[in-house]
Parts: sequence; C-alpha cells; structure tokens
Amino acid sequence: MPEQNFSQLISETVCTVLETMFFTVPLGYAESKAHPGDMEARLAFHGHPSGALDVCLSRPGARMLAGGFLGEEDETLTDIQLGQVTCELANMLCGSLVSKLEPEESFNLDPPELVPVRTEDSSERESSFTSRQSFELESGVLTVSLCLEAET
Amino acid sequence: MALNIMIVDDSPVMRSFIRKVVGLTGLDVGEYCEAGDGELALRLLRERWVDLILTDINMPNMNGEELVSWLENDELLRSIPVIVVSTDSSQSRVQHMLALGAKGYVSKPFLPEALRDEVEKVLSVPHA
Repeated sequence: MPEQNFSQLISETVCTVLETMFFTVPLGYAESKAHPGDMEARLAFHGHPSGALDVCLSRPGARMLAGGFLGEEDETLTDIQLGQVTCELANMLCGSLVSKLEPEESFNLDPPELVPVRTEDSSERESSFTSRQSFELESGVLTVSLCLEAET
Repeated sequence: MALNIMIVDDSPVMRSFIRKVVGLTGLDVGEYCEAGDGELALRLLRERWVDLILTDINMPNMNGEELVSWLENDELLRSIPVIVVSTDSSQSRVQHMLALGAKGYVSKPFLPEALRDEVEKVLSVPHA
C-alpha cells in the first residue's frame, strides 16, 4: 500500500475513533514534536501484516480525551487514568487500522504499554515508521505512528 | 425486570466507558459486576447471577475466547448470553466467537446505539 494511502487510513481511523468514543474530532494536522510529559503508548500486532502502532498524546490532549471518554472533569483525572486512556486509544486505533488493512484476516494484539516518550529528532523517528501523522486537537496534539514488518 | 450485567475487560477505563454507555441506552440495569479477565469473571459467576456478559477478547490469564468456551461447556452458566466487545472487527474473528457460543458481537469503536441494539437483540427485549 502506498505511503499516501496509509496516511489517509490513519486519518480516517483517528476521526472515527475520536468522534465515536471520545466525542471530539481532530481540528487538522499538526507538527509532530514530542515533549517530556507527553504520554506514549505502544502495542504490537501479529498476523498478516504484523507490526506496531505508537500513540503519543501531549499532556493537554491526554487530559481532554480522557475527560471525554470517562465523562469526568479534566481536573479530577489522575495520571493513572490518563495512561489507561492513552493505552485504550492505542488499542482501538490499532484494532481499527489493522481490520481495515486486511478485513478478512484475523490478528492478535499485544496489550498496549506506556513507554518513555522519545524526544529525539523527528527525522530520525520518521525513518523507523511506515507512516506517521500528527493531529491538532481542541487541546493538545495526537501523533499516531504505524510500523509494518516486511512479510517474509 | 432489572438486568444484572457483567463487564469483562482488562482495561478499567473501558469497563467504565461501557458502563456509562449501557447507562445511556435506557436499559433497566440492576447491578453491574466487573472483572479484569476471564478467570476472575468465572470466580464471580460462582457467587452471583448475571443476566448478560459483555466481554473483551484480548485479556491476560483467561482471554475472551477461553471464557466463552468455558461458559458454553458449563451446564449452569451456558444460559447466560455473552456479547463480545472487541477492537477486532474481522469477519473471521466474529464468526469464530459466534461459533464458540457468543450471542452477539460489537466492534470498537461503537456508538451507544450499536451496543443498545445488540443487547436488545440478544435479550429479545423491545426498544427502550
């Protein structure tokens, strides 16, 4: 699948998942830049294809999405809840994306895990991903990175 | 009559979300019961009766497939309808879970109406 199609697939999936489960929509594309304090979750998927999905949320973005998802005031949310919602977002985005890549195939998802935020140069990060997109949210930024393993 | 509903998912925030969505459906719910995996769900089912189980597939210890199979092989518990709520929307997975004994399947992400419709279909209750 060409890179452009992966980008479109990520955009469509992000819009659907945010609108359906988080009651918000992305406002547009954003510059991708990770900061200390962001929340990053990653999970691997196994099937045809196999790969990994990485979701990075700025702190305000995590707070806003968690508030919408849980129906709670942003100020009352704990870091644990923010992390759990970031993981759940990664889980849903990954499931939806992979189902669209190969609708007839079954696949297995590993449990999403919070990982340390990588703040290195974005071009260095870029090279390890098949496709990567950042979205501006009402508050904060969401970055989704998809990495597909080469089929043997 | 109020329904007792069990939600099985390893994500506490997803359990909370499902609970909220079920609340929005207008269904008459008595008690909620929650479990983080299939093993805990089975333990809880020995102590209390539920009318409906909503379960994820990917969970530690005992996953949703194993839970549905276990329930299907239990004389007493097999009568409890199970709806799978999963991110996996592939037709092969849906068919597999239904073949194992699940009565319904909702793919995440889902609208509250989709969950309500599936619950009503499975329980054969009229529109709330």
